[in-house]
Amino acid sequence: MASSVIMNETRRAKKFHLPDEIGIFVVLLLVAAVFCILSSSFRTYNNMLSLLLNGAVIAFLALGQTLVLLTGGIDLSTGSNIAMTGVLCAYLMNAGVPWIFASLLAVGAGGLIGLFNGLVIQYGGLPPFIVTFATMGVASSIPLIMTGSSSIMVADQGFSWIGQGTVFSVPVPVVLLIVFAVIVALILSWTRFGVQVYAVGGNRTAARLAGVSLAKVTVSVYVMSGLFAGVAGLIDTSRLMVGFPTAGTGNELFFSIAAAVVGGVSLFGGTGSVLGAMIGAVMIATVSNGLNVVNVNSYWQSLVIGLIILGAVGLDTFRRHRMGAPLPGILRRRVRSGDRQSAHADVV
Amino acid sequence: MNVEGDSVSNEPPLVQLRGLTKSFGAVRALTQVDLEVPASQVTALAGDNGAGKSVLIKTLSGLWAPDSGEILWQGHPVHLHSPKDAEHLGITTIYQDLALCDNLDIVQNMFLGHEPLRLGALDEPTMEIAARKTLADLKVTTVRSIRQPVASLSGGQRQSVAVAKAVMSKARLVIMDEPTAALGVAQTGMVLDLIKTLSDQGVTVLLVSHNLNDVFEVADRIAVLHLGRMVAVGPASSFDTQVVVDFMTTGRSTRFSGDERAADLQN
Repeated sequence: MASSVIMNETRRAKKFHLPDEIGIFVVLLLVAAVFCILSSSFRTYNNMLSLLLNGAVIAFLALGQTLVLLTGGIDLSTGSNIAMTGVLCAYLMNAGVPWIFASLLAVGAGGLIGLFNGLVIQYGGLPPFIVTFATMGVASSIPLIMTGSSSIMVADQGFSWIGQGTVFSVPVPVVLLIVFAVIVALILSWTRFGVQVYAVGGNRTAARLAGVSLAKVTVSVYVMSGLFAGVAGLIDTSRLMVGFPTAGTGNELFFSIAAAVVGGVSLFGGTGSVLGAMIGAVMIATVSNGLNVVNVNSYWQSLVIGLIILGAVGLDTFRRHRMGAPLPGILRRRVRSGDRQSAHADVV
Repeated sequence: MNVEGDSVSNEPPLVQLRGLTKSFGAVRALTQVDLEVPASQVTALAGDNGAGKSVLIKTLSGLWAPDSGEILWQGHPVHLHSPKDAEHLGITTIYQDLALCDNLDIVQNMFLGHEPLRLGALDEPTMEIAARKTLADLKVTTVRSIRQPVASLSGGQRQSVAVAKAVMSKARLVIMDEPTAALGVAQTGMVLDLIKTLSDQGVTVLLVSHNLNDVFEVADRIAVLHLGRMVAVGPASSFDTQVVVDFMTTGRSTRFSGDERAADLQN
């Protein structure tokens, strides 16, 4: 028995040295290659640009979603947060607020939604799925109430820089995305907070016993998710210079979770990276754009991406199973950790 | 109240429990429990399921406050309101399977909660050097890389990492909850060696275990709980397996040479 344990160990150790990002990156290249072959319009510079621009909104949501998923939570409110922040920003600019301040206020409002999520999840002991499901409804209603469901045109031309401007001929949304993705990646790998995010997702109880503040970590990741959703809302509004009260209620949430999961971020918490999630976002954008370009009816998009999610989560589950934690065990631990979360809310 | 036939020196024991009582609703988990844990020794806490072992160690690690009774730390009464309080004193508890984050590597686990920083970022080189040294001090040599995730370690290695983490945080008293449960023979031997090394280095160990072979192999002193009462405490030499089993199952033994407490504490 001892020898089989050792053999397992060696095999597992070898598996670990292969970064998960390599796999998804190769798949991305393959998918892109297939679309390049299928369609001459896919491989144009302009199409690549629009692919990345479309991807930027999804990627921003995926960035925040990654932080939340790493702690073992989920944020369903990010999609409708886009509409709320976008409309709020347009509304403020029309009320005479300069676009920079309007943008900052709107992003701040996105952060407030995140703060609310984090506080209720941590101190109310409610499951993240339920809390963010509820705020998804709340955040999607606010812009409809504010505008009576009509769109708000943006007059302030300076605002168009966010969605349409370029820096050294790279679109601003892509630049913003790279800057924030690098910042988050550095935070995750170089700071105490980063280790704590992974620790909370890996084993809440162990993290708490080691002196990690669950409250700080939990609330912070939801706030960041809200802030990034706010930035995505600005980009969305700025690209068309219209605040749509129904923006972000379509596929954005679905695609952003897909991006994170396809990029190797585990829905069970504790595993994944920003790089992976960003490759995942480009992957989802590529599939979505590629299907359009090769004239596949857009009704097929969600179906294909749904299947991709299923494949990615299946792979993650299989990997965890191989690592020695059978699925029922994982689920049980999740349920238990949910209990602990509420039980410890009053202890801590 | 020094125990007869015990080798406790003049200095007060590291930890002393006096009349500790704890109830959960109508259930009496601990009744008037007295216990001395002398410094730098291995004290084994034995008892059947439901005897109150877990409640006792959770009280000592600050998770639950006792209803009555007191805890003395080096002779001074202390109040443990949270695990943090216990940690400040130098009490570290290693729970069976809750001690580590599987997804983090050995170094990250050992420093979780108190990572050294340099210029605001994690000081990885310092952490790696300290982790290597601590593991070497504990004679843990089977770990291939200190950068491998804990999920890839064997049960014994995981215990080693948990103990190293405790040593790293300058623990004076390490409470180990069933450290050898679910381990194979070789792995168990490894953990027992670890406990001996730990106590050789002056760390006090309170070992909670079902496994009497383990208890007799490493313990200097043995304490037996039965239905929430401390029924016997004494040097390991005053017990044998049958005596401990008698105490664990019935709360009394006719052949015991140490300090039997069931009689005078019965009310």
